[in-house]
Amino acid sequence: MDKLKGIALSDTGFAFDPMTGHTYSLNKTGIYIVRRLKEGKSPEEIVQDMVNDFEVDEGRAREDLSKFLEVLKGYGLI
Amino acid sequence: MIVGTTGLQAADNPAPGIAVAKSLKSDARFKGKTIGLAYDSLETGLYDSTLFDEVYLIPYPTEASSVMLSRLNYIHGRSGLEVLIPTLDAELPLFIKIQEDLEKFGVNTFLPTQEQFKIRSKDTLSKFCVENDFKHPKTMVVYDPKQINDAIDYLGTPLVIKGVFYEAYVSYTREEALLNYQKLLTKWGTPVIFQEYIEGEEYDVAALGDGNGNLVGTVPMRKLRLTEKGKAWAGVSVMDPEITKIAKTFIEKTRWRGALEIELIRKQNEYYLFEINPRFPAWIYLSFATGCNLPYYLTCLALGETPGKCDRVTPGMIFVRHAVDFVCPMDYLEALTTKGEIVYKIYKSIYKQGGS
Repeated sequence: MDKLKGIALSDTGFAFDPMTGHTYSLNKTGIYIVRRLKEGKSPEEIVQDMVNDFEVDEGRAREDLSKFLEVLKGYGLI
Repeated sequence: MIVGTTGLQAADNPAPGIAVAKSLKSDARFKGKTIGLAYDSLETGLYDSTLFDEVYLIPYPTEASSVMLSRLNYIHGRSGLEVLIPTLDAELPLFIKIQEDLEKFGVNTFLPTQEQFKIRSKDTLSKFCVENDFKHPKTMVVYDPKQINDAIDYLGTPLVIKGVFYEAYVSYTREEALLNYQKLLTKWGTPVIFQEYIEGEEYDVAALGDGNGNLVGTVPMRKLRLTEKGKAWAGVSVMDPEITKIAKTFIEKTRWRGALEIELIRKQNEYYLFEINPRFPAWIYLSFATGCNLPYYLTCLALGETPGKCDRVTPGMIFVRHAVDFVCPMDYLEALTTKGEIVYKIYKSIYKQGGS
Protein backbone atom coordinates (compact mmCIF):
# COMPACT_ATOMS: atom_id res chain seq x y z
CA MET A 1 0.00 0.00 0.00
CA ASP A 2 3.06 2.25 0.46
CA LYS A 3 3.47 2.52 -3.29
CA LEU A 4 -0.13 3.64 -3.69
CA LYS A 5 0.35 6.37 -1.11
CA GLY A 6 2.99 7.92 -3.38
CA ILE A 7 0.65 8.06 -6.39
CA ALA A 8 -0.70 11.49 -7.30
CA LEU A 9 -4.41 11.22 -8.14
CA SER A 10 -6.44 14.07 -9.61
CA ASP A 11 -10.18 14.57 -9.48
CA THR A 12 -10.43 13.56 -13.14
CA GLY A 13 -8.96 10.15 -12.39
CA PHE A 14 -5.55 10.85 -13.90
CA ALA A 15 -2.96 9.13 -11.72
CA PHE A 16 0.82 9.56 -11.85
CA ASP A 17 3.47 7.43 -10.18
CA PRO A 18 6.36 9.83 -9.53
CA MET A 19 8.83 6.98 -9.03
CA THR A 20 8.33 5.13 -12.29
CA GLY A 21 6.75 7.86 -14.41
CA HIS A 22 3.77 5.62 -15.20
CA THR A 23 0.35 7.19 -15.66
CA TYR A 24 -3.09 5.63 -15.30
CA SER A 25 -6.68 6.63 -16.00
CA LEU A 26 -9.32 5.63 -13.49
CA ASN A 27 -13.09 5.77 -13.74
CA LYS A 28 -15.26 7.08 -10.89
CA THR A 29 -15.31 3.78 -9.05
CA GLY A 30 -11.56 3.43 -9.41
CA ILE A 31 -11.05 6.91 -7.98
CA TYR A 32 -13.36 6.06 -5.09
CA ILE A 33 -11.48 2.89 -4.22
CA VAL A 34 -7.96 4.27 -4.66
CA ARG A 35 -8.74 7.29 -2.46
CA ARG A 36 -9.84 4.99 0.32
CA LEU A 37 -6.84 2.72 -0.08
CA LYS A 38 -4.58 5.78 0.17
CA GLU A 39 -6.38 6.73 3.40
CA GLY A 40 -5.39 3.35 4.76
CA LYS A 41 -8.83 1.73 4.72
CA SER A 42 -8.99 -2.05 4.62
CA PRO A 43 -10.78 -3.91 1.80
CA GLU A 44 -13.56 -4.82 4.25
CA GLU A 45 -14.10 -1.18 5.16
CA ILE A 46 -14.16 -0.20 1.51
CA VAL A 47 -16.77 -2.87 0.73
CA GLN A 48 -18.97 -1.41 3.48
CA ASP A 49 -18.49 2.11 2.11
CA MET A 50 -19.44 0.93 -1.37
CA VAL A 51 -22.59 -0.73 -0.08
CA ASN A 52 -23.52 2.48 1.78
CA ASP A 53 -22.71 4.89 -1.05
CA PHE A 54 -23.73 2.96 -4.15
CA GLU A 55 -26.75 0.94 -5.11
CA VAL A 56 -24.85 -2.32 -4.90
CA ASP A 57 -25.13 -5.41 -2.70
CA GLU A 58 -22.25 -6.64 -0.62
CA GLY A 59 -21.49 -9.63 -2.82
CA ARG A 60 -21.17 -7.53 -5.94
CA ALA A 61 -19.14 -4.85 -4.18
CA ARG A 62 -16.75 -7.49 -2.83
CA GLU A 63 -16.34 -9.07 -6.26
CA ASP A 64 -15.71 -5.74 -8.03
CA LEU A 65 -13.24 -4.62 -5.39
CA SER A 66 -11.40 -7.91 -5.56
CA LYS A 67 -11.02 -7.66 -9.33
CA PHE A 68 -9.80 -4.09 -9.08
CA LEU A 69 -7.25 -5.01 -6.42
CA GLU A 70 -5.92 -7.68 -8.78
CA VAL A 71 -5.46 -5.01 -11.44
CA LEU A 72 -3.56 -2.83 -8.99
CA LYS A 73 -1.43 -5.83 -8.00
CA GLY A 74 -0.70 -6.48 -11.67
CA TYR A 75 0.69 -2.95 -11.97
CA GLY A 76 2.79 -3.43 -8.87
CA LEU A 77 0.88 -0.73 -6.99
CA ILE A 78 -0.10 -2.94 -4.06
CA MET B 1 28.57 34.78 -17.05
CA ILE B 2 29.42 34.37 -20.71
CA VAL B 3 28.87 30.76 -21.65
CA GLY B 4 29.51 29.03 -24.94
CA THR B 5 28.11 25.70 -26.00
CA THR B 6 28.60 23.41 -28.98
CA GLY B 7 26.12 20.93 -30.41
CA LEU B 8 23.68 23.23 -32.19
CA GLN B 9 22.25 20.88 -34.78
CA ALA B 10 18.57 20.30 -34.03
CA ALA B 11 17.19 18.67 -37.14
CA ASP B 12 16.11 15.03 -36.83
CA ASN B 13 18.47 14.13 -33.99
CA PRO B 14 18.97 17.22 -31.81
CA ALA B 15 22.33 17.80 -30.19
CA PRO B 16 22.35 19.05 -26.59
CA GLY B 17 23.76 22.55 -27.05
CA ILE B 18 20.42 24.23 -27.70
CA ALA B 19 18.94 22.70 -24.56
CA VAL B 20 21.97 23.84 -22.54
CA ALA B 21 21.54 27.41 -23.79
CA LYS B 22 17.80 27.29 -23.14
CA SER B 23 18.37 26.08 -19.57
CA LEU B 24 20.68 29.03 -18.92
CA LYS B 25 18.56 31.68 -20.61
CA SER B 26 15.44 30.51 -18.76
CA ASP B 27 17.02 30.80 -15.32
CA ALA B 28 16.57 34.15 -13.52
CA ARG B 29 19.92 33.58 -11.78
CA PHE B 30 21.75 33.59 -15.11
CA LYS B 31 22.97 37.04 -15.95
CA GLY B 32 25.11 37.11 -19.02
CA LYS B 33 25.38 35.97 -22.60
CA THR B 34 25.13 32.67 -24.37
CA ILE B 35 27.49 32.01 -27.26
CA GLY B 36 26.71 29.37 -29.89
CA LEU B 37 29.63 27.45 -31.35
CA ALA B 38 29.13 25.29 -34.44
CA TYR B 39 31.11 23.38 -37.03
CA ASP B 40 28.85 24.09 -39.99
CA SER B 41 27.07 27.25 -41.11
CA LEU B 42 23.77 25.37 -41.38
CA GLU B 43 23.69 24.03 -37.82
CA THR B 44 20.16 25.06 -36.96
CA GLY B 45 20.80 26.63 -33.55
CA LEU B 46 23.01 29.31 -35.12
CA TYR B 47 19.86 31.00 -36.39
CA ASP B 48 18.10 31.29 -33.07
CA SER B 49 18.85 34.78 -31.80
CA THR B 50 16.51 34.25 -28.84
CA LEU B 51 18.89 31.61 -27.50
CA PHE B 52 22.29 32.91 -28.52
CA ASP B 53 23.60 36.43 -28.24
CA GLU B 54 26.50 35.64 -30.54
CA VAL B 55 27.38 32.67 -32.72
CA TYR B 56 30.67 31.54 -34.18
CA LEU B 57 31.97 28.76 -36.36
CA ILE B 58 34.82 26.74 -34.94
CA PRO B 59 37.21 24.30 -36.64
CA TYR B 60 36.49 20.57 -36.65
CA PRO B 61 38.07 18.70 -33.75
CA THR B 62 40.08 16.65 -36.23
CA GLU B 63 42.24 19.71 -36.91
CA ALA B 64 45.32 20.30 -34.77
CA SER B 65 44.53 21.48 -31.25
CA SER B 66 46.44 24.70 -31.93
CA VAL B 67 43.85 25.59 -34.57
CA MET B 68 40.99 25.19 -32.08
CA LEU B 69 42.89 27.06 -29.37
CA SER B 70 43.62 29.94 -31.69
CA ARG B 71 39.97 30.22 -32.75
CA LEU B 72 38.64 30.04 -29.20
CA ASN B 73 41.17 32.65 -28.11
CA TYR B 74 39.81 34.95 -30.82
CA ILE B 75 36.22 34.25 -29.74
CA HIS B 76 37.15 34.90 -26.12
CA GLY B 77 38.63 38.25 -27.11
CA ARG B 78 35.61 39.15 -29.23
CA SER B 79 32.80 37.98 -26.94
CA GLY B 80 34.32 37.66 -23.48
CA LEU B 81 33.67 33.90 -23.49
CA GLU B 82 34.49 32.59 -20.02
CA VAL B 83 32.87 29.15 -19.81
CA LEU B 84 32.77 26.51 -22.52
CA ILE B 85 30.32 23.59 -22.31
CA PRO B 86 31.04 21.04 -25.07
CA THR B 87 28.17 18.66 -25.73
CA LEU B 88 29.31 16.28 -28.49
CA ASP B 89 31.00 12.94 -27.80
CA ALA B 90 33.34 13.21 -30.78
CA GLU B 91 34.81 16.56 -29.69
CA LEU B 92 35.26 15.80 -26.01
CA PRO B 93 38.65 14.09 -26.27
CA LEU B 94 40.07 17.27 -27.81
CA PHE B 95 38.51 19.61 -25.24
CA ILE B 96 39.62 17.39 -22.38
CA LYS B 97 43.14 17.50 -23.79
CA ILE B 98 43.23 21.30 -24.11
CA GLN B 99 41.22 22.28 -21.03
CA GLU B 100 44.26 23.62 -19.18
CA ASP B 101 45.41 25.60 -22.22
CA LEU B 102 41.93 27.11 -22.51
CA GLU B 103 42.01 28.12 -18.88
CA LYS B 104 45.28 30.01 -19.43
CA PHE B 105 43.56 32.53 -21.66
CA GLY B 106 40.41 32.71 -19.58
CA VAL B 107 38.05 30.07 -21.00
CA ASN B 108 36.97 27.72 -18.22
CA THR B 109 35.53 24.26 -18.65
CA PHE B 110 34.37 21.63 -16.19
CA LEU B 111 35.26 18.37 -17.84
CA PRO B 112 36.23 14.87 -16.80
CA THR B 113 39.82 13.71 -16.92
CA GLN B 114 41.10 11.49 -19.73
CA GLU B 115 40.94 8.54 -17.36
CA GLN B 116 37.34 9.20 -16.33
CA PHE B 117 36.38 9.64 -19.97
CA LYS B 118 37.90 6.25 -20.79
CA ILE B 119 36.23 4.39 -17.88
CA ARG B 120 32.74 5.02 -19.25
CA SER B 121 33.50 4.53 -22.93
CA LYS B 122 31.44 1.86 -24.62
CA ASP B 123 34.36 -0.52 -25.03
CA THR B 124 35.38 -0.46 -21.34
CA LEU B 125 32.13 0.22 -19.48
CA SER B 126 31.29 -3.45 -19.04
CA LYS B 127 34.53 -4.06 -17.12
CA PHE B 128 33.75 -1.10 -14.82
CA CYS B 129 30.23 -2.43 -14.20
CA VAL B 130 31.54 -5.88 -13.26
CA GLU B 131 34.17 -4.42 -10.91
CA ASN B 132 31.64 -2.16 -9.22
CA ASP B 133 28.61 -4.39 -9.13
CA PHE B 134 26.36 -2.47 -11.50
CA LYS B 135 23.80 -4.63 -13.32
CA HIS B 136 24.45 -4.33 -17.02
CA PRO B 137 23.83 -6.16 -20.31
CA LYS B 138 26.39 -8.78 -21.32
CA THR B 139 28.83 -7.14 -23.70
CA MET B 140 31.49 -8.17 -26.15
CA VAL B 141 33.84 -5.65 -27.76
CA VAL B 142 34.69 -6.70 -31.30
CA TYR B 143 37.98 -5.54 -32.80
CA ASP B 144 38.26 -8.23 -35.47
CA PRO B 145 35.62 -9.66 -37.83
CA LYS B 146 36.68 -13.14 -36.69
CA GLN B 147 35.09 -12.40 -33.31
CA ILE B 148 31.63 -11.69 -34.71
CA ASN B 149 30.22 -15.21 -34.71
CA ASP B 150 31.49 -15.80 -31.18
CA ALA B 151 29.82 -12.57 -30.08
CA ILE B 152 26.49 -13.55 -31.62
CA ASP B 153 26.69 -17.06 -30.13
CA TYR B 154 27.51 -15.60 -26.68
CA LEU B 155 24.78 -12.96 -26.69
CA GLY B 156 22.09 -14.62 -28.76
CA THR B 157 19.54 -12.71 -30.82
CA PRO B 158 18.14 -10.19 -30.70
CA LEU B 159 21.21 -8.22 -29.74
CA VAL B 160 22.31 -4.59 -29.91
CA ILE B 161 25.23 -3.49 -32.05
CA LYS B 162 26.80 -0.12 -31.27
CA GLY B 163 29.34 2.18 -32.84
CA VAL B 164 32.09 3.34 -30.51
CA PHE B 165 30.82 6.95 -30.61
CA TYR B 166 27.29 6.96 -31.94
CA GLU B 167 24.47 4.82 -33.23
CA ALA B 168 23.06 1.52 -32.10
CA TYR B 169 20.95 -1.05 -33.91
CA VAL B 170 18.87 -3.89 -32.57
CA SER B 171 19.60 -6.90 -34.74
CA TYR B 172 17.13 -9.76 -34.78
CA THR B 173 19.07 -12.24 -36.89
CA ARG B 174 22.69 -13.16 -37.50
CA GLU B 175 22.51 -11.71 -41.01
CA GLU B 176 21.12 -8.43 -39.73
CA ALA B 177 23.87 -8.31 -37.10
CA LEU B 178 26.52 -8.73 -39.79
CA LEU B 179 25.03 -5.96 -41.90
CA ASN B 180 24.81 -3.59 -38.94
CA TYR B 181 28.36 -4.45 -37.94
CA GLN B 182 29.60 -3.46 -41.41
CA LYS B 183 27.58 -0.26 -41.34
CA LEU B 184 29.02 0.84 -38.00
CA LEU B 185 32.53 -0.30 -38.81
CA THR B 186 32.52 1.78 -42.00
CA LYS B 187 31.16 4.85 -40.27
CA TRP B 188 32.90 4.82 -36.87
CA GLY B 189 35.72 2.31 -37.12
CA THR B 190 36.73 -0.21 -34.48
CA PRO B 191 35.84 -1.42 -32.06
CA VAL B 192 32.17 -2.29 -32.59
CA ILE B 193 30.29 -3.17 -29.43
CA PHE B 194 27.94 -6.15 -29.27
CA GLN B 195 25.53 -6.07 -26.36
CA GLU B 196 22.77 -8.24 -24.95
CA TYR B 197 19.31 -6.92 -25.77
CA ILE B 198 17.30 -6.36 -22.62
CA GLU B 199 13.65 -5.64 -23.09
CA GLY B 200 12.27 -3.15 -20.66
CA GLU B 201 11.46 0.49 -20.06
CA GLU B 202 14.05 3.10 -20.88
CA TYR B 203 15.16 5.60 -18.28
CA ASP B 204 17.90 8.19 -18.42
CA VAL B 205 19.44 10.25 -15.70
CA ALA B 206 21.35 13.48 -16.21
CA ALA B 207 23.82 14.16 -13.42
CA LEU B 208 26.63 16.47 -12.37
CA GLY B 209 29.70 15.53 -10.36
CA ASP B 210 31.92 18.08 -8.63
CA GLY B 211 35.18 16.24 -9.26
CA ASN B 212 35.58 15.36 -5.58
CA GLY B 213 33.27 12.36 -5.55
CA ASN B 214 30.17 14.38 -4.72
CA LEU B 215 26.91 14.42 -6.61
CA VAL B 216 25.65 17.96 -7.24
CA GLY B 217 22.32 16.85 -8.67
CA THR B 218 20.44 14.29 -10.73
CA VAL B 219 17.44 14.53 -13.01
CA PRO B 220 16.00 11.08 -13.74
CA MET B 221 13.65 10.75 -16.68
CA ARG B 222 11.44 8.05 -18.12
CA LYS B 223 11.17 8.07 -21.92
CA LEU B 224 7.60 8.35 -23.11
CA ARG B 225 8.11 8.42 -26.87
CA LEU B 226 11.01 7.32 -29.00
CA THR B 227 12.05 8.20 -32.52
CA GLU B 228 13.00 5.50 -35.02
CA LYS B 229 16.57 5.96 -33.86
CA GLY B 230 15.59 5.31 -30.26
CA LYS B 231 15.95 8.94 -29.13
CA ALA B 232 13.53 10.31 -26.54
CA TRP B 233 11.03 12.66 -28.08
CA ALA B 234 8.98 12.99 -24.94
CA GLY B 235 9.77 12.12 -21.37
CA VAL B 236 8.74 12.69 -17.78
CA SER B 237 10.86 13.43 -14.72
CA VAL B 238 10.70 10.80 -11.98
CA MET B 239 12.12 10.45 -8.50
CA ASP B 240 13.14 6.83 -8.05
CA PRO B 241 15.87 6.77 -5.36
CA GLU B 242 17.37 3.69 -7.03
CA ILE B 243 18.25 5.74 -10.10
CA THR B 244 19.80 8.50 -8.01
CA LYS B 245 21.79 5.86 -6.11
CA ILE B 246 23.24 4.53 -9.37
CA ALA B 247 24.36 8.01 -10.42
CA LYS B 248 25.70 8.79 -6.94
CA THR B 249 27.67 5.55 -6.78
CA PHE B 250 29.18 6.08 -10.21
CA ILE B 251 30.24 9.63 -9.33
CA GLU B 252 31.68 8.55 -5.97
CA LYS B 253 33.67 5.70 -7.44
CA THR B 254 35.06 7.67 -10.38
CA ARG B 255 35.16 11.13 -8.70
CA TRP B 256 33.47 12.24 -11.89
CA ARG B 257 34.00 15.85 -12.89
CA GLY B 258 31.28 17.46 -14.98
CA ALA B 259 28.11 16.45 -16.77
CA LEU B 260 27.00 12.97 -17.60
CA GLU B 261 24.00 10.99 -18.74
CA ILE B 262 23.42 7.43 -17.61
CA GLU B 263 21.15 5.30 -19.77
CA LEU B 264 19.22 2.53 -18.04
CA ILE B 265 16.75 -0.21 -18.85
CA ARG B 266 14.28 -1.16 -16.16
CA LYS B 267 13.27 -4.79 -16.23
CA GLN B 268 11.25 -6.42 -13.46
CA ASN B 269 12.03 -3.55 -11.08
CA GLU B 270 15.79 -3.75 -11.64
CA TYR B 271 17.89 -1.23 -13.52
CA TYR B 272 20.51 -2.27 -16.04
CA LEU B 273 23.15 0.30 -16.93
CA PHE B 274 23.87 0.15 -20.62
CA GLU B 275 25.57 3.40 -21.51
CA ILE B 276 27.16 6.47 -19.96
CA ASN B 277 27.57 9.63 -22.01
CA PRO B 278 30.16 12.14 -20.75
CA ARG B 279 28.07 15.25 -21.39
CA PHE B 280 24.55 16.63 -21.01
CA PRO B 281 21.79 14.95 -23.00
CA ALA B 282 19.62 16.71 -25.57
CA TRP B 283 16.68 16.69 -23.13
CA ILE B 284 18.60 18.61 -20.42
CA TYR B 285 16.21 21.56 -20.59
CA LEU B 286 13.90 19.36 -18.51
CA SER B 287 16.36 19.88 -15.64
CA PHE B 288 15.41 23.56 -15.51
CA ALA B 289 11.74 22.64 -15.23
CA THR B 290 12.40 20.23 -12.34
CA GLY B 291 14.16 22.89 -10.26
CA CYS B 292 17.59 21.29 -10.71
CA ASN B 293 19.13 23.34 -13.50
CA LEU B 294 22.27 21.30 -14.12
CA PRO B 295 23.73 23.50 -16.92
CA TYR B 296 23.51 26.48 -14.56
CA TYR B 297 25.20 24.52 -11.76
CA LEU B 298 27.96 23.36 -14.10
CA THR B 299 28.56 26.97 -15.14
CA CYS B 300 28.96 27.91 -11.47
CA LEU B 301 31.45 25.09 -10.92
CA ALA B 302 33.44 26.11 -14.00
CA LEU B 303 33.74 29.62 -12.58
CA GLY B 304 34.92 28.29 -9.23
CA GLU B 305 31.65 29.11 -7.50
CA THR B 306 29.70 26.84 -5.17
CA PRO B 307 26.53 25.89 -6.99
CA GLY B 308 24.46 24.57 -4.13
CA LYS B 309 22.83 21.15 -4.36
CA CYS B 310 19.69 19.75 -5.87
CA ASP B 311 18.29 17.54 -3.16
CA ARG B 312 14.99 16.97 -4.82
CA VAL B 313 13.70 17.29 -8.34
CA THR B 314 10.05 17.87 -9.15
CA PRO B 315 8.62 14.67 -10.63
CA GLY B 316 5.93 14.76 -13.28
CA MET B 317 7.49 17.50 -15.44
CA ILE B 318 7.13 16.51 -19.06
CA PHE B 319 9.20 17.46 -22.06
CA VAL B 320 7.86 17.12 -25.59
CA ARG B 321 10.06 18.00 -28.52
CA HIS B 322 8.77 19.67 -31.65
CA ALA B 323 10.45 21.19 -34.65
CA VAL B 324 10.39 24.92 -35.27
CA ASP B 325 11.15 26.63 -38.56
CA PHE B 326 13.20 29.79 -38.55
CA VAL B 327 13.09 32.21 -41.45
CA CYS B 328 15.73 34.84 -41.99
CA PRO B 329 17.36 36.72 -44.82
CA MET B 330 20.25 35.18 -46.76
CA ASP B 331 22.50 37.70 -45.00
CA TYR B 332 22.67 35.39 -41.97
CA LEU B 333 24.06 32.53 -44.02
CA GLU B 334 26.39 34.91 -45.81
CA ALA B 335 27.77 36.24 -42.50
CA LEU B 336 28.34 32.74 -41.17
CA THR B 337 29.90 31.44 -44.36
CA THR B 338 32.19 34.38 -45.07
CA LYS B 339 32.95 35.74 -41.61
CA GLY B 340 32.12 32.72 -39.44
CA GLU B 341 30.24 34.77 -36.87
CA ILE B 342 27.15 36.78 -36.05
CA VAL B 343 26.86 39.11 -33.09
CA TYR B 344 23.09 39.43 -33.08
CA LYS B 345 22.83 42.71 -31.22
CA ILE B 346 24.98 44.44 -33.78
CA TYR B 347 23.62 42.44 -36.68
CA LYS B 348 19.97 43.24 -36.12
CA SER B 349 20.67 46.92 -35.92
CA ILE B 350 22.20 46.82 -39.36
CA TYR B 351 19.95 44.39 -41.24
CA LYS B 352 16.19 44.05 -41.43
CA GLN B 353 15.02 40.73 -40.06
CA GLY B 354 12.69 38.59 -42.16
CA GLY B 355 11.11 37.07 -39.05
CA SER B 356 11.87 34.13 -36.79
